[in-house]
Amino acid sequence: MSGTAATAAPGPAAAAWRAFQLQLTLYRHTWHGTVFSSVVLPLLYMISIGIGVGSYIESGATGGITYAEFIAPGLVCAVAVMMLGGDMVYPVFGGYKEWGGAYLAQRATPLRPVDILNGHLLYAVAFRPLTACTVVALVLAGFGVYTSAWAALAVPAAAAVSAAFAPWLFAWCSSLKNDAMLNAVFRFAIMPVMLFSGVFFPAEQMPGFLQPLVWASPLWHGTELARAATAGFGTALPPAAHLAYLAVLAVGGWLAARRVIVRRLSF
Amino acid sequence: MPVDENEILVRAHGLRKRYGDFEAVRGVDFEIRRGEAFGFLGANGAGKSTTMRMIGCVSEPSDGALDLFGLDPHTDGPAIRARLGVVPQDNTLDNMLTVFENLTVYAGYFGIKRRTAARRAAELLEFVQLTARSRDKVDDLSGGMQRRLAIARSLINEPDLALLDEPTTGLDPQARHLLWERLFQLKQRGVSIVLTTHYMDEAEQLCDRLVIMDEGRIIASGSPRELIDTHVTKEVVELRYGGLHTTDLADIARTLDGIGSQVEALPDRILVYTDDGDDTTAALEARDVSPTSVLARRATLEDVFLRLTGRALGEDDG
Amino acid sequence: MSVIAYGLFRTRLGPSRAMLSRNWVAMRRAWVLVASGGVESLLFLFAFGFGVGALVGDITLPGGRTISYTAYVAPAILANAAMMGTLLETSINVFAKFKWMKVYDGVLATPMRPWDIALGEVWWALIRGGVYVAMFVIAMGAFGLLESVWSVLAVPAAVFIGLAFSGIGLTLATVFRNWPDFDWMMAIVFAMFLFGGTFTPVESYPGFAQPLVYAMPLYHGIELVRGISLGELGPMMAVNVLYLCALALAGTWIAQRRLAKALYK
Ligand SMILES: Nc1ncnc2c1ncn2[C@@H]1O[C@H](COP(=O)(O)OP(=O)(O)OP(=O)(O)O)[C@@H](O)[C@H]1O
Ligand SMILES: [Mg+2]
Repeated sequence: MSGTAATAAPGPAAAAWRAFQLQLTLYRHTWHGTVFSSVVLPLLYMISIGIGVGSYIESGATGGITYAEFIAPGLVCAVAVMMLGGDMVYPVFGGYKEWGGAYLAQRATPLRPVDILNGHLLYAVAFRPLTACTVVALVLAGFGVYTSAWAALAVPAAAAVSAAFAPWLFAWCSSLKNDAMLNAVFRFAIMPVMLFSGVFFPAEQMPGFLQPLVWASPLWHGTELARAATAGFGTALPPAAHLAYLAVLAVGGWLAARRVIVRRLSF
Repeated sequence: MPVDENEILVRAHGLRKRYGDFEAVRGVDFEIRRGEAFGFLGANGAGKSTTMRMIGCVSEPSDGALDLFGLDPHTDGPAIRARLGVVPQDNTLDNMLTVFENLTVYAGYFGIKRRTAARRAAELLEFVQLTARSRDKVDDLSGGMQRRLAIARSLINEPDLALLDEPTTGLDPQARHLLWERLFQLKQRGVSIVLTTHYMDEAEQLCDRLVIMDEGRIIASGSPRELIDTHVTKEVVELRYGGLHTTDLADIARTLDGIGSQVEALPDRILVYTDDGDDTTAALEARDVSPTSVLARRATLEDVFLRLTGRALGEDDG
Repeated sequence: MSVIAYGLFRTRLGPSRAMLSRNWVAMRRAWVLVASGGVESLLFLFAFGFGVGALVGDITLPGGRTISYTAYVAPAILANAAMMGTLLETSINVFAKFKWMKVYDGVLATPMRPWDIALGEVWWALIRGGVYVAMFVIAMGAFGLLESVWSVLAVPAAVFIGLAFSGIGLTLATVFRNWPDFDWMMAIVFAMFLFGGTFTPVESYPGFAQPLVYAMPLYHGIELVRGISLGELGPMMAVNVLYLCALALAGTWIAQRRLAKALYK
């Protein structure tokens, strides 16, 4: 790509990078508001549930490790899901709104819809988990819940959950007409995924007819991987299978999201 | 007229409104009589809407006395508002409701019975020609349609006094004329109308009396005719110069000294105020200033407005 | 010409009913969303009551009685649901209607007073909260988590908690400036949920933390509802009720002082 052409028609990577800059700029204004949900909240969960309730739970119930050790990897991945609730719901829905919708503004520049999508995803599935989940993983280390340095792999596992889940949320919120429906996204997608993906209790405890939902949840696959990293636990499926599933979800979601944003931003 | 014309509905004395250090309305006096149409003119930010909100009893005056229907807004706000019909500048429609529901729910705030409300809503929608859209959400209407809905809503309680803040902004010519007609009918039924507008033709057409506001004060008042007679000459000659720059116009204007009673250079034309257009046109031809076009016309409210609130005010009088 | 229905204004509740009916009309198309508002609490019940509860097994109350962990946690989640139902409705929803949707600007041009609006919003919040609470108690009954028929008294108790928080909610609606303020409220509320004696008895907390918990309004709501649903009535419940009454009065009093100022520009 020649230097002069770059301003007129940026390549996909450069364009996504430019769209990403907007999210980064917004983040500079709002980061302090996100500290609670992305760092403090998992810490509070750890203290209240992991330590508090954990003191009533025998390690036999969680495969021979303490309850705090059991939920730590899940919390790191759950943070990624919680953050998507902030980054992929209201901002996406509002992006198409006449009142200052960011996507509409970006659409009037050389950026293509797919660049806008990529830029926002870059922020939500790379920047956010790689920063916030790292901090959470480090803070949780203070509770002595890791068995080896492999625990660091919990962070990429969290990013993988994000990558598998984010584009689907993007596609859903992009096609909503009514802002009242945004509550439904939390109620029927984010909350159930958070609570029933084997983060707080082993997924096998779920009634049999709900098991398929657990298997579908990206957070369950990510938590399995992360728990293998932090506690040396065996995964339910071979790690490669978990990863493959997350990759399929990510690619399928991205295709769906691209379809929706192209439709919404073509006038 | 069916009612006593001299009954005074609104009486304001030394009305002021402060927002922090800033004083938006700086002591205005006016009286509005039953059955009359009263206009507020003024540049953006002059304090028209602020005054309207105080009359509407949704904004507490910082100072001064205000009296509506012989009641005190401070203690009788609800009773006063029950007799007002308000079109605020920004519509304030309820976006969660349909067009029809906007009217019926609003009627509920007045305690109007459901059946009456539904009947009136249907009539009013017919009047503003939105019947076909009555089941649509407000968001799906165009800007002008939303305006028409706000106007319909203001009439749901059959008000004694209608407060219309720029009612025709955003309306197409047809809708505007229709509204003028309806306002005229209301007036004939004894409903008083207070309106603000930026359209001088509208003010001339509709208002029996009007005031011109500038920076929170009333700087002129009277009927449209009185204002024209007092503040400008009978006629105006407009000189246009295609393609000339504003500064050139000012230079030319200076060479016209002595013609008419006053010469004023606007960015795109020169105005010569005079009591006799033909005389002045002849005099201008003698000066050999060769404009691209010359137009002699009657002075309008717009000339008054521009003179009183425009740049000319400070220069000429100061 | 238009001395419209003045009779209505003599009964003070009339105007607030108009506000209530506005909310009803506006939300009836989205009734699925309103009705499913109770789902969140049920999810918490399933995850923590049943999921985590199965790991814990039974828990011994400070009084010495042993009950299932699920029965222990459920009333706390109910109290939380009652609080959240009204608090969200009176704080953020009222704030959004007033700041972003400009619903009240139109309403204020009518005979409605700020207090009529506020009262209407409180009724609406209580109705919504009441529906969630009832759904939750029915679910508790279905899973055998209620001690006796008297346990249905948990419903009015929970609605009372909602009422206690509605004044605070309205006050917050007048205090909020923008969205991040709301995030902070949620942070505090969630911290109360996690540490208000929801999951473990306060007696098991470290000593320094206990007074903090006693100061939390939600703690008193939880104790009240838990006592009723477990059939463990005690003198301390009078303190819980008094605390919540004080909260209701203080919140409402501050709210009515601030509301007119916030709404009339
Ligand atoms: N709520 C407020 N807080 C602070 N200042 C305000 C407020 N409302 C109005 N003002 C200020 O008061 C002044 C008068 O405003 P107002 O809306 O009355 O003007 P207006 O004459 O209606 O103008 P326009 O023709 O643009 O509608 C403006 O300078 C405005 O910025
Ligand atoms: Mg105005």
